[in-house]
Amino acid sequence: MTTWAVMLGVGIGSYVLRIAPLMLLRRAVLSHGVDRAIGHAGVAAIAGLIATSVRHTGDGTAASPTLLAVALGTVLAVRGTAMLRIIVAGATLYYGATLVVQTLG
Amino acid sequence: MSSTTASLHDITPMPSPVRDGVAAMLPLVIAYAPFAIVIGTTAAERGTPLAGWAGSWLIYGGSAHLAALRTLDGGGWAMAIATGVLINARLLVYSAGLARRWTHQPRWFRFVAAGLIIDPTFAAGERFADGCASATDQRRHFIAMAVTLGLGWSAAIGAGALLGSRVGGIDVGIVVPLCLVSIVGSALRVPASRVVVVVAAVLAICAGAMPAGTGLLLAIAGGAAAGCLWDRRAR
Repeated sequence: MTTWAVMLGVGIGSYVLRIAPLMLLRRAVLSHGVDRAIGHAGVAAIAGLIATSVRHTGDGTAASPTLLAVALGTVLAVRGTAMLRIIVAGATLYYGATLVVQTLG
Repeated sequence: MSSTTASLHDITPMPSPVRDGVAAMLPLVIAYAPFAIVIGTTAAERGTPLAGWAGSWLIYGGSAHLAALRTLDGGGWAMAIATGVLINARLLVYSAGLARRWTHQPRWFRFVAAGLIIDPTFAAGERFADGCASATDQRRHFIAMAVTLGLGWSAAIGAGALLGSRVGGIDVGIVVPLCLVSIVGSALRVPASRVVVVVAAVLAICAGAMPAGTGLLLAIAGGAAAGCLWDRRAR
């Protein structure tokens, strides 16, 4: 029941964020400062999620392979590489590094 | 030559906005599939596969969906909702941009399409609209795109939810940070965004001991504030 409530809650909240400007701002614009702040909040949210995901995935012997894979993924992403290629390259490095760590450990 | 003879130009089929919309999203459906499967398995591990799957259409956003499910475990339902909604705060900016573009669209379309605004549909929709002035074609293109992405996305989450524990034995956790990195990667070319990412990541790690969800909220607030301060200094 709780999971349903959360899915509905996030869904309703997200819908309000999406519909409000469409209904209220048809001819107006957000100020540049508010625009930038909202954009920064979005980027900060995803950066925070990346950090928590890395901590979640990179426990114990998986720490180094995780950091290496994410570092490679970051470099590729900055260069504009497609998502699927980033996943394949990063995952390949991760599994390869994990194998090396487990072999040496 | 007969005036009724059709020229090659006349019989060349006009590009279809629906076909263009579907074609624009198909590669992304494949690219997002691993991320969606991880969300599905996360929901299955919580014992709530159907509710987790329902989020694919209710939330229509992977990072918010995953964050809400993970925050629910340690942070409670209120924190999970707040985290998910905050992560989707950027949709305000997308909608504000589309509000000007969709001035001549019918009300029903704005109500329906609002639920389908997310990074890929916004970006591809803007690209199509830049080259096509017809409001009808823009409408058809957007709906085709969004439905294609939604069907593929929800199917992949469903597959993850059904596979559940079978996938749980395979280490696929690395997919999540890689997907998220690909979403934010291009922003790193901008100095202000680099500051935002570094501050938010450091805060998220340092606040790891805080109840799940509050650390992420702190990271969002700190990162956004750092970005605004950087913008002010740069002016």
